[in-house]
Amino acid sequence: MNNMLSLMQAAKNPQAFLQNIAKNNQVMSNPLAKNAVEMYQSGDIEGVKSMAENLCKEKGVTMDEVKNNILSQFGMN
Amino acid sequence: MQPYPNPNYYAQYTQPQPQYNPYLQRMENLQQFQSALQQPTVANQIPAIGKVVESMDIVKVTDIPMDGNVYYFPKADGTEIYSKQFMTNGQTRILTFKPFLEQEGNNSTDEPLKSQITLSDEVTGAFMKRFDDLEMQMKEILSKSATKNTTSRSKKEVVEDE
Repeated sequence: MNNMLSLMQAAKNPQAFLQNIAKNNQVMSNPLAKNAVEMYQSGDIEGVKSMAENLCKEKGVTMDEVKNNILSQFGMN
Repeated sequence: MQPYPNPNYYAQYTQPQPQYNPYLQRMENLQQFQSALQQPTVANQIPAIGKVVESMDIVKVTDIPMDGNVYYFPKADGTEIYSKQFMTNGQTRILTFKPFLEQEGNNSTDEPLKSQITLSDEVTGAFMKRFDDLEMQMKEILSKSATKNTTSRSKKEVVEDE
């Protein structure tokens, strides 16, 4: 439930969501999350995209599958 | 007539009395000591040790948490240990650790000797033929020099006689 609320908040205001994440020590102690937030804040969108592709590859799924999965959770698929 | 006994007279024997038990005391001390020992290990706990695997292929398909920590996968036969870790770019890195034996260093020095010993007969035959040729040439040179010496001595003797 909290995850859904977080996602809705993120969709509503991504900047505020990322600022909250950047302040969260637990999240920022994770090197992957920290790198992703820092890349986004510095405007390196290609880096974020590449990282997302790498993670999808490691998990054995495609970007489209992840996207469809998220959209289906909102009943938008 | 006997006086009515004091009810507390028996009670003092029936009630459990706390007694000093050295064994229990030692057990408590041991438990306290063990808990004190365990506390730092919990604080410095290694993130996770993976699991025993049969081959690297299993490590490749095994999911690990995306926390950046290193997860170790010892091979069942003990010949290798694999480590898997999520890098900051989202890719995973697998390292292979192999045991190093001190004897391996000594064996490496023995290998050239072994290779010399195990030369094929063909190669050995070629070397021996070359040695034989050299020996023949040396003998010819020595015999020529010996004949030269004898002829020069005979000439000298002739001159002296004259």
